[in-house]
Amino acid sequence: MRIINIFIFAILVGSLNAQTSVNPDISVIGQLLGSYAADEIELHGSSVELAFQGYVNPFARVDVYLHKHMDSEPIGVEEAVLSIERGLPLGLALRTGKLRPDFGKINSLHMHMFPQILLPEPVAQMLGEEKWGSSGIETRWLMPLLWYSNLSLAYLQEGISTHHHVAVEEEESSPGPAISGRYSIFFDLGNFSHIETGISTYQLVDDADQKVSGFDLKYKWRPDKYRSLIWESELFYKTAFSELDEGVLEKHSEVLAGYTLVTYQFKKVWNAGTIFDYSSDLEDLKYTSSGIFMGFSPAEESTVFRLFIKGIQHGTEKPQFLIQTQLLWSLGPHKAHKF
Amino acid sequence: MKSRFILILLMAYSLNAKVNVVASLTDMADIARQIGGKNVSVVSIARGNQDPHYVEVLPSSMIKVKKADMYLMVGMELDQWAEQIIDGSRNRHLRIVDCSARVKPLNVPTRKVDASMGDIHPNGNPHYWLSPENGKLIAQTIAVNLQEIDPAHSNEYERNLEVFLKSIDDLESKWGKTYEILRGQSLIYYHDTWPYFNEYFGLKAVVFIEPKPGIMPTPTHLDQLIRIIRDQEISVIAMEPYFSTKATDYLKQKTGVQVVKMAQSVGAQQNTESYQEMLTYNLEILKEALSK
Repeated sequence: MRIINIFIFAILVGSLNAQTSVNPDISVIGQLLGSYAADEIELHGSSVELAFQGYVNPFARVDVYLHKHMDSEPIGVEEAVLSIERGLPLGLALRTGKLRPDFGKINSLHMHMFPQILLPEPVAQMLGEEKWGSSGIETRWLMPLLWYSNLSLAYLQEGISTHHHVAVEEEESSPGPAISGRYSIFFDLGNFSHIETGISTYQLVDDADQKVSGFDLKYKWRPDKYRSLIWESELFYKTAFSELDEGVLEKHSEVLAGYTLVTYQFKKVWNAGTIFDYSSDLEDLKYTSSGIFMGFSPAEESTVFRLFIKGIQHGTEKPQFLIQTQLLWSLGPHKAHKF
Repeated sequence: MKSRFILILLMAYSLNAKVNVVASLTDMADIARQIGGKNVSVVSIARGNQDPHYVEVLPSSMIKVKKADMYLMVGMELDQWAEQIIDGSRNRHLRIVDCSARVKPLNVPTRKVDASMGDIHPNGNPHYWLSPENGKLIAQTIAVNLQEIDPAHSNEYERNLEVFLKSIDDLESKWGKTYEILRGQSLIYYHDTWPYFNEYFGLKAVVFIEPKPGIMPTPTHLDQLIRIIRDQEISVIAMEPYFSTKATDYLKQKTGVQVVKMAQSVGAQQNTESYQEMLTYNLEILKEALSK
């Protein structure tokens, strides 16, 4: 009850301070994306992300991200979140609005942060093409331990929208409300490296038709500002059941999917790496892909060129080959990529 | 009787409890250690040999801040990364102290700032702790805040502040004689870290290895530097320990210029374990190089 009161207070204080003339941080990230696949070359130049960020009062901040993905698509709200980070007792934080919940490692990352440009296809199948995000509320609890240990619980109005990319047609479903949770821990391994790992779980509120479990692991070594090595892996397991008769369930789908990537930053402005994606059952066929990527950041966090070459094997289909190039630029404090 | 005993225990505990201080940089951490003495426990987020502009926001740093009573920020937009650490700590009772509060900033841009000027700070150059006079101002800011947080030890903080200020005064009179040779000397710096240091000790930065703050040197810029070194007979390039030596090695090879690694923060080099040692180290290394 006390938490709810503080939450309402934080929002009210925000509205009382609405006459402030202080502007929020405004940022723009633009993207030029080129791709070559199946003898076709495509170029998309109008993908932009707009970010408006700032504190609305001493207790709460707002982060709004508007995103236009491709030339043909309209601009949409990617996230619009009110967060109370330091206003609550017991190490709690609260986020509400349209948000990406803390589910796995990749779900809350914006696409421009990916060194490999593209969302791994098995992850797209598990979390949706745009990953999972909806209106809802999320609480994060920083546990009173000597090391970083966080438990996040979320209730979202809409569960994961599953896109099934079949060659010709696209089928989409919009399930009902869903809950998710993630427990993560983080350890420093000396001055230059650290490890972070987490387990996640998701299911629909109204029926047990969709359950997803996840495990993620990230290791980073950064001895100085010119070199770093990151190894990141994530694994998802999905089950779905159908009710045959009253109380009798049949498991009709079981998918194991994930990715592992390694990226190495060298000579300050260059990075290179490799990624491997796997899904045991993507459209009833085993899916694997492997790729190599390279990045060049001539102006620290504000400009980056990326190249990604990927080979895909989907069941017994003929292997596919894909080349992606990306030019990212950013204006303002929300940066295009980590540096 | 039992409740009285518990009360006495609690009072004893509160009298002996240390003030937990977290600082963005080792410099503010060391000054806080000297002012706080045995009544404070101090840690810093960045290491001394780390570039203070780019410090990774790690969950383990949030844990350091979680139990802290006071956070010492550099301010002037140098340690913007600290805001995420502070938010992530969920610490509701944290006192955030901007150590630049009493400092008169140098190099405040007089026109609109944008990224075409490189990584420029709109509120002025933020490396103010490299002037001993600003070190005194930082110490005063920290002392006042410690006295407010922990009034029971107010007199000790006052005494420690006086000791700190006297130690700087003593060094200033010693530095004036020992390092007189530095006054009026011109040198090249890698990054614009040293305007406060230069102003105080009478040194002059001719040009920087970075063509603009935060921008890596280009071949054209290196050619210009070679001409400047030869035309103006520059004998020393001073750089921070975290920058690549590729450009400076090239210039050394082409012109014979000396390259010295400075300590831009406490702990950046050996024998720079305190604020006073760090300043003396920089003076000594420059004197040695410029005397050759």
